[in-house]
Order: sequence, then C-alpha cells, then structure tokens
Amino acid sequence: MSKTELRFTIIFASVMLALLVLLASPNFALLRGATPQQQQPTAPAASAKATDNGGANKTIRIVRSPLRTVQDPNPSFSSVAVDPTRDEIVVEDENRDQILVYGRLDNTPAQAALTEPKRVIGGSRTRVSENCGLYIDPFSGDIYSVNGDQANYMTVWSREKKGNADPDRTVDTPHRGFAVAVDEGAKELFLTIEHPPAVVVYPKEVDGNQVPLRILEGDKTQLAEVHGLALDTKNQVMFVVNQGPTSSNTPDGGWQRDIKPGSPTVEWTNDDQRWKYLVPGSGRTLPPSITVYPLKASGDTAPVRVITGPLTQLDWPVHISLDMDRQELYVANSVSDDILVFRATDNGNVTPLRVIKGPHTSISKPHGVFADTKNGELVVANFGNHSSTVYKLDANGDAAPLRMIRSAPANAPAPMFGNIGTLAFDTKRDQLLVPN
Amino acid sequence: MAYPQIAAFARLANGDVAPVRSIAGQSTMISRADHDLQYNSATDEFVNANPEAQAIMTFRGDSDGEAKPIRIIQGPHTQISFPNHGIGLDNVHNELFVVDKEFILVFPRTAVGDVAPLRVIRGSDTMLANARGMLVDPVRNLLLVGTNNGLLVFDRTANGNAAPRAIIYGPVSGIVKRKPASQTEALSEARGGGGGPAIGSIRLSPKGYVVSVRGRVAEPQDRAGAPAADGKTTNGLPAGITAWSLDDIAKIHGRGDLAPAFVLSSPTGKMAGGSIALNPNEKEVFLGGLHSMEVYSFPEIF
Repeated sequence: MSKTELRFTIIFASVMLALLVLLASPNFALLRGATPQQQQPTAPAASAKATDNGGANKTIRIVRSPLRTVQDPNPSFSSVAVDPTRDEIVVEDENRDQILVYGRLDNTPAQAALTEPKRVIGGSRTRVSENCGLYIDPFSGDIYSVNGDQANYMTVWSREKKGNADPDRTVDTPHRGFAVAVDEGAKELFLTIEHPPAVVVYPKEVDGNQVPLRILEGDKTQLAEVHGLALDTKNQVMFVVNQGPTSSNTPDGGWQRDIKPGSPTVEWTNDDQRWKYLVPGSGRTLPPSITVYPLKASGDTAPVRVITGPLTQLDWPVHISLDMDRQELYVANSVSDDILVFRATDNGNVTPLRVIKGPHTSISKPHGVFADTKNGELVVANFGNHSSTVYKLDANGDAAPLRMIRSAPANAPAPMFGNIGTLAFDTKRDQLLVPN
Repeated sequence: MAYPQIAAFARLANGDVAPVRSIAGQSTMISRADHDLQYNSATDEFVNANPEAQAIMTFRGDSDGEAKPIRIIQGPHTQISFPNHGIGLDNVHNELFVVDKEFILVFPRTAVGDVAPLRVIRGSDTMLANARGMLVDPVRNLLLVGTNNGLLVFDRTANGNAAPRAIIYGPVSGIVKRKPASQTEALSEARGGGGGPAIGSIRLSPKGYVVSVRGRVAEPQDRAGAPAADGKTTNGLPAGITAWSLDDIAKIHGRGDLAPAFVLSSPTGKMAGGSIALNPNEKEVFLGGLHSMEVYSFPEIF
C-alpha cells in the first residue's frame, strides 16, 4: 500500500467511524426521508429549565416531504387593461405575481391548453407581488401595476421590459393599494387604498417615496374597503367602488398624518402602527356602493352621488371601467359572476341598465373589466377560470364571448388562493378552512 | 388582494383543486386581512375576525355561500381596533380571546353585539408588541401569545397591565425575529406589509405540543422559478414545523430559551408558509402561505 493509499484509507475509516458514532447517538435523529412508522421519536424533554439551552441537543430533527400540496400552477387574472394603440391586452396574474401581455385579438382555440403571452414580467427583481391594479399609458404604452398586499409598491414598466427585470419606477404606496387610474389631461395619478380607505392622488410621473398631491379620506366620504376606480375627465368626477367594511380614523389619524409640511417625501405608517389611529369600536359594515366625487376632491369630502341598495345587485364589486362617450359604468361583480352596467349619472338604489350573466358568458368570479371604446369591446378578467373574455360593448344577458384568452386548460380548477393568513381544520367534515 | 373568501378543501385535496365550499359575499360580512380562524369542534362553529369592521364573527360549521354569521361582537364598548391576528377559544370557561396588536380582549364566548370585554390585558408591562398567534390552555391555565418580543406566557386569567410569567425567546428555541430573506422581503417588512414577528401562528396539539413554523417560508418567486435575491435561508435555518412541550414551557418563569422537542423540515428547506392547522385524526399538519398549502405527516406530536 502506498503512502497515498494509506492516507486515504485512514481518512475514509475516520469519517465512517465518526458517522457511525453520530448516527448511534440517542440525541441525534436526522430521519431524512423516513416514514413515520420507521421513526422512533423520543419523549420530549421533561426537565427543561428557564434558561436551559442544554436541551438543544434533545431536539429531534426530522426531514420529511409533504404528503400533499395544493396550489394553482396557472396564472389567475385579477385585472385587465387594453392598449388599443398597440393592440395588446395586459393582465395582472395575481397567482404567480406576474404581468402578462397578450395580443388583443388572441383567441385560445377550444382544443388548446392555453395561449402563450407575448411578454411576461415576473420574478424577484420585479417587486411584483399580489398585483391587482393596472393602467396603461395611452401614449407610451407604459404599464402601471399596483401590488395588493405584502409589498407596498406600485411599479411602472416601459415596453422594453420583460422577464425578471427591475421596474423603471417604483412608487412607495400606503399598505393595501388596489386600483390605479390617470387623468392624462391634468397628469395626475389616482390610487385607491382598501383600508384605512382612501384615494391618494400623485403627479403622474411620481417616483419613489414622493408625497402625493392630495388624499381623499374620512367618514364623510363613505369610503369603505375601497376597490376599483374610474375617472370621468369630461365631467370632472371620479367613481369609487366600496365593498363595505370600515372603521373611523382618529382626528389626527388618516394617511394625511404621514405627510410632513414642507417635506418632499413621505414614509407611510406601517400596519403595525396604523391601528393606533383608528377609533376603537367604530367599525361598521356599510352596504356595497359606488361613490362619486368631484375629480379634485380631497380631505373628508362627501360624495355627490352614491349608487347603492338591493336593486343594484352589487356583491363584492371589484374593478370598474367607464365608457366616457356612452356614459356607462361597467362593474365586475365578483360573487355573482356577472358584469353590471350602470348609467354614469345613476344615483341611489337603481337597477342596472344591463347585466351580462349566464352560462354562455364564461364569466367566473370577475375581478377586472375594461371598456375598450376604440374597438367597441368589453374585456373581462375572470379570476375564477383563468381567462379573459371579450364581448361587444353593448352586450347584455347571457352573451357568449367574442374571444377568450385562457392561461390554463378549460375547466382547470381554480383554488383562488391569495395570501393564506390562517388555516383551521374542520374535524367534523374532514375539511380544511382557508381564508384569503 | 383579490377574493377574501373562506374556502373549504377536502382533507385529501392534492394538486390543483377547487374548494368544496366557499363562504363569500356581502352577507357574510367577511373582509380581507383575516389572519386567524378557529374551528370549535365542541360547538361545530368557526370564529374569525373582520379587522376592517372591527368585528368578531361566529359562523355555523356547515356555512356555505352567502351565509350570515350567527353572532357578531362589534361596537364602541368592545374596544376592538384591528383584530387581524389571534383568536383563542376556551370551551371550559366559555371565553373568547382576541389579540388586537398590543392588547388582548376577553369576551364571553357567546357574546353578541356591543359588549364590553370581561378582561383587557394591556400596558407596558405586558410586552405585547405586534401580537399575532395565540392559544389558550384551560388545563394548565395558560395563555400563550406570539409577539415580536417572543412567545409570551400569561396566566389564563391575566388582566390589566399584567407582566407575562415567562418569555420564550432565543436561538435555541428558534424564536427569534426573522431576518429578511430578500430585498423584497426586507422592503416589505420596512413598510409593514410582510414583516416577520418573532413568532406568528401557533396551535396546540392534543399531546401538549405548541406548534408553529420557524425559518424562511417559500416566496412567490420560488414557485415562479426565479431565485430569491440572496438564495439563502433565514438565519441560516431551513423552515421547520417546530413543536415545544407545553409542560416544559409551563415550568419556565422569567426568560427562557427552550429547545423544541421536534423540528420537521422539508428536503428543500422551504415550506409553504407560516399559517398552520392541525388534524388530530390523521396526525397531519397543514401549512398555508402565498398561494399554496402543504400537508405533512407529523405523528410524533399527536
């Protein structure tokens, strides 16, 4: 045996001996891949003391693969917008935290699994997360995307960007942003905040943690878990969708309190502190509504009109879109699988002008809606069936879509998971309860 | 944030599946930001919070569709502010505990309407900071609360500015404030969106283990195929379902850094998320996070 072989043999034997000693130790149980039946868990430490860290080696460490995993591998559409200049449909994929760009006339054949997008923006560098609000600059084609939960940003994307890229602009927003719209005449950008409810207005070219121009918030506004937003620049009003739950800000509360006089920047109070500026016990659940304000409204301004009441059929309304020429409002009504159409001048407890609803529509848990007035079409983002469906702008009743873009095979299940904040097991029904 | 339903999935659901029930709609009075839900097997009810409307709502166990809550605690006397984490049920003493960021409210379990709490644990001595997960043990008369200051242990009947009898915190226990695993997570934490407290969702197994998830959990980009910014795990630790003995916790007075009895990790070092539920019948642990759930067999703790 050469010296090299001898050295190798000694090292190998030493390693094997050390491994055997380690595995034989009663305090070490790394049971990689073992089934529960194969394992011999020891009893828990019975004499742990107040500052006992000597118990660390009593921890039984187990490595085990999950028995089951439930997740949707397919994009789920939470918002939609059309770029009529470039003939594109852009959707927010809230399930996989991506922005997808399709051809406007794309139509997934019935036998096809899905339609591939022309462009995908997604990945850790993008900061896109639980994205739910969308605007396309009609001039540049830039995409404005609002994050809905964990990451408090709005990101802005030029047409050149794709894949796991850095956004052109990242705007710090209050927690729980939802929808975005722009008054191109005034170059003002409107952003809704679900709760504490507000509409925050920025210069259109906002970047970083720049202060907003004004904030609409307060009890008189009747804002309550705010979602969609539409601007009527012709008549100088804005329409805001409210789902209902709300509570009151303290007199020195509200998002406005974060804006320091003279400061060009703002640090929004985080969620762990924001609750201190809510009045305890002031909570209430208002009926769902569409509230209408002057376009320049700020502070605690009451709406000039409110569409609300049982005749409206509003049931967790989400996004909204306005046809300024026809003066019609399109509302994605998520729970009852329909699109409600109102006159822009409606007020109070009114019946919708039209309702697009029925088995032929393929509408399922609609979240996004966009009135493409150039092409006379209405585009819907269906969160419940991985699709975007297109109708004539004046469609009514159980109308079949003109076209459909699917991101998954037809009838693929949609768990519709969001950020699962808690779980509970129903032992009577053997079911798992999963809130979003 | 899209659809704030409470969905029910069959226990054996696997892969891409639809829920068997969905409680959703205006009548339910559910809102988003619901971070604790408790099923009460003794009464066949489940309890959740609507933090935006400052309400605690109880539903029948078989609720479906536009079901209305059968009881709602809401109103100026309740002192509720933003109860988006931590609900505790005590069927023995018929009490309902509600975590509200920096204080805890205790109501009669069947309270309805604008009722004042029976007890309020609140004040600087309580060390309740960003309180999240909670569990009540009527046997050992303990109340456990996950906070940024660690796992706080109170007497079950604590009231007012009560100091915790024990604080479990430190590297041995694994209860330490998470370090952000990526730039996105760090920025999110700074803005308050997804910051990691020392310990979040906690559950009690029938065998007397306090169960939670420690370490880094999967982010959306993990599933999208893009690596996290640093590609590392939190504090060098893989995510793990961690179980401490409640009997050992009960022996601690003052500060303690108690080693867990068990840590179950996945081969990838990542897990679905920090939300947790236990199925004592089949000895399973369910985890939930961003857009996904996982089920692990964990008979050692049942």
